[in-house]
Amino acid sequence: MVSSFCWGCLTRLPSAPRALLPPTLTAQRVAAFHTSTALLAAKKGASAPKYRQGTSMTMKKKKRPAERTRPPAVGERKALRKRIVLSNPNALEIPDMKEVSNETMVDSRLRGSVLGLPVPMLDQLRAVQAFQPKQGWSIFRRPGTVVRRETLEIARLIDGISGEGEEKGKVVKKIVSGARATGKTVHLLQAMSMAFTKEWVVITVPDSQELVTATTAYAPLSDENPNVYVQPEATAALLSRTVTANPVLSKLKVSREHTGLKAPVPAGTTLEDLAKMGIKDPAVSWNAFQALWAELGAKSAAPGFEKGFQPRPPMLVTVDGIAHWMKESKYNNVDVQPIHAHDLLFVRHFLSLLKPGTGQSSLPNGGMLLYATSASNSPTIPTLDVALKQVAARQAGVRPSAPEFPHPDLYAKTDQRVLDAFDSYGLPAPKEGTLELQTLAGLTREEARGYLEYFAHSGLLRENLTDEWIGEKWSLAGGGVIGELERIGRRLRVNTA
Amino acid sequence: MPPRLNLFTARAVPVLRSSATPSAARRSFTTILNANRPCAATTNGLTTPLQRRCNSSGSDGQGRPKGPTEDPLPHVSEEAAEVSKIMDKKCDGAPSSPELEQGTPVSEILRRDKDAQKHAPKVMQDQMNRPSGSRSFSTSAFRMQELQANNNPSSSSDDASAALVANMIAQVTEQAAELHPGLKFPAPAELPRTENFRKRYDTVVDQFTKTIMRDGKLSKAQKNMSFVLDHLRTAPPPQINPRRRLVGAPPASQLPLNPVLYLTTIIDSVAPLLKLRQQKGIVGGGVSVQVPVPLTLRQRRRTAIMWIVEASEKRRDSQFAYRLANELVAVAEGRSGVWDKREHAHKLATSVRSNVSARSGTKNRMG
Amino acid sequence: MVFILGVNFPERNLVKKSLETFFGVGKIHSTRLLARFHVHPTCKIGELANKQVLDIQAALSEMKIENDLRRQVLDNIKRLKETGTYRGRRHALGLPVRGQRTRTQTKTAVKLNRMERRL
Repeated sequence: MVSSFCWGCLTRLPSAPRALLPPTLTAQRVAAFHTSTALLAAKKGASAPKYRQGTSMTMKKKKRPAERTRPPAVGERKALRKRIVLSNPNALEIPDMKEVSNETMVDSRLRGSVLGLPVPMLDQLRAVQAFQPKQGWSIFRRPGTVVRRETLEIARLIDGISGEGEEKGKVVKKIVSGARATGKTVHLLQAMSMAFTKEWVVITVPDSQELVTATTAYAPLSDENPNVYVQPEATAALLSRTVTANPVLSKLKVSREHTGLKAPVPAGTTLEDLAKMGIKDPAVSWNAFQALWAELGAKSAAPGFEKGFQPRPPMLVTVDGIAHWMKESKYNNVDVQPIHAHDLLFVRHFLSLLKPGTGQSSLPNGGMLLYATSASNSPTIPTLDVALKQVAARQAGVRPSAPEFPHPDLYAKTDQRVLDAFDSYGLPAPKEGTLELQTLAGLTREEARGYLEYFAHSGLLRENLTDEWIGEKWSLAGGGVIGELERIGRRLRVNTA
Repeated sequence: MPPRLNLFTARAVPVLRSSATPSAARRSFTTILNANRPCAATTNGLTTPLQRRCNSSGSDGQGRPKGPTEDPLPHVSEEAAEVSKIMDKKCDGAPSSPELEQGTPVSEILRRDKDAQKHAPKVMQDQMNRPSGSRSFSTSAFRMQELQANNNPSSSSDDASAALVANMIAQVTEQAAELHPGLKFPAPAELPRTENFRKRYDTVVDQFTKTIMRDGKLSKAQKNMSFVLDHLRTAPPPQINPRRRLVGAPPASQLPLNPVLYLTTIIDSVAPLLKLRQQKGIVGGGVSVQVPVPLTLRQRRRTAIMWIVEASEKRRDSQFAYRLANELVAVAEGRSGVWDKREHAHKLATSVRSNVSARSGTKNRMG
Repeated sequence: MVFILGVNFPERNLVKKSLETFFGVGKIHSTRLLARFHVHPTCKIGELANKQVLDIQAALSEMKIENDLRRQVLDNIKRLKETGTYRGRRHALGLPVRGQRTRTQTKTAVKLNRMERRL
């Protein structure tokens, strides 16, 4: 970089008049020999940052607008989350929709159609918390369920158990399993609706997770049994569900004496009153529940209680999401070690029903056990998977000694208590069925057609329901998985607009 | 591939009509394409065998399937001229109305006006004298046509040109078939937009969802959106305010059954047509002036959505989705302040409408 | 309102959090206390049975917490100072005691380690 002009010429230029030069330059020129003082002096005037003071630019914080609305009241958000709306007044009413009744529930011609739930029964179903918030009940005029193959099977069983044939008083034990959104919970709901139609006693555990997440009170059963625990609040809630949902209880009278409750139970007390003693005082709720359970299983009255004894109806017991019960709970024992879910008496009671009863069947007056797994909200428990496989193998007639009988992974931690819970060794009582595994899958194409037609009749689906279209949607829904079909059915489009 | 298709289109859009110098031969050529209309054929004095051939391809044993563009409609003016000829029974070809003169081909004028024929440009005279059936351009199809014509010496020149066109069409159809092999049946119609899983939601729903998204949390926005749509579906039908009707909506009782349509009509009804833009340098002196600017559909909808979201902030409900859903219903019932906003925006735009011309004037001066 | 060890707790507060307000009761001790008296971790003060309140109170009164614990800590520091140990000196000088660096980040030591130690 050689400059094009000569420095010598520049130096010989006449110096600029003083007035033109900036004042700072003149200041330096005065003390041309020593520049340091002048520089220091200049520095003093400028606002130099002080020692160790941050030099970075500070942004002014924006003033946030004052919070106008109050936070919602306690429990309001949960209520919103759990709110269940069963009717949409805007949806079209389907004129020839049939209801669940004694005749329709076993009618195999209705397979694939949607049966409405009778309006008086809705309160009962709500009481046992049969409906879940995200099952899409809110978009139809009234709640209804599809009659599928498994529904008809259950209906025939329920019909047989409450009928007068040879199946009277039988006990059916099933574990309902299946992929996500295949309708396991709704399957339980259908069973409940049928049981209510037949005036059974329905006892449900809609949310098994609540019992093991350490959100309700717990206490050791007694000083003699410090290692098993009762959950008084949860038991009281169960009793209250049962009482609200089963008006049958008010017709039945106690058949024996009960100890453990605060006051003696006189003869002539209805079972409803017995249960209400437990609801009022959660401290005795577990004893009240046991008393109620014994009464529901009674076949005859003890001496002194014969007056007004009525035969007990069969029972339907459902539990949803059993996987939560197959691991250690969040409760701690005295030594700050987690308590296994099977040590909670509530859980232990319902799991013990799966085993063959001693002497008499686990439900002496007959009935049905339906325990469902959950695929969306469930912990991963490898032992449970093996246990269910073993149930299926036993059901298929594979002997436990056979080589193809499934066994847990030898190199993984196995929870023996889980395996034992499903291991129905021993001879079952005469009318007692063995534990079965029922796996739900997708609907058939005909059932899917009926279901989608229900959407179309309700005015939600505006398509021409040809076989081709339905086949396409059936495949899109993973082979007729009902939850996915529901999403397709309510999927919004404005082709018409 | 493109040259082949070009050939096709060159034939499909009648070359002869757009040509500046239509000869008699080309004229007849055009009418051959229209040969399904007998009156047109007769007025032009076509030979009967040709007519039969073009009308019934199966009967004369040729068995050639008709191409999709083998018989397009003629130009409007030509058709009008032909109709007028029939209607007015004037065989000299004089137009019955002056408008028709505009579209009368030069060839017809030349035919009836001997004087003009004499003074016509040399090119046109040459073309008129040239034997019909020849063309000013050549293609490979032509050569094939000529070969065929040689094989069939008895065919007239008109017949030859018709065969030429038919041949070209056949060839192009074959080529098109080669381009899409393996299709036994015609390709299916294009799928609707929402069948693509990336665009599964309706346009308005998609725009609304993206607009209420905060901090990039799309799934949360979608959750809110689905709540809003469910609310529209289940809430009682809106009581429409007669002064503030929804634009192009079906009766109010039908709206909840189609929540997406409901949402669309709500948004489109309160969407403003214009916005004001501050623009400097129109009137000079550095003063900025408000100029109304028209909005596109998407911009209009966005403005409406922003207004609705803004108005929903003032509601007392605890959750955003509730506020939004209630505000939408309020808009449908004409209770919302969004309507006033729209009217205000339109009023302002109207009051400064004189600035639009100022702006365009500036542009003209600058351009 | 429930009194535990002379402190008044509103009923809506969690038991676990309330216990942790005492000097000397942290997460470990509160968890142990709850497990010992079969109180679930999401229990609120209002849901405690009377017996459980008394039990917890009794257990707390046996523990060395609050002023007793403070006094013990101060005594320990005083002993270190009086015996003229290095650690005692560091306490007195307001410097980190356990071998931390002193070039930066000694705020806590500067704040706490005084002649009149606060707790």
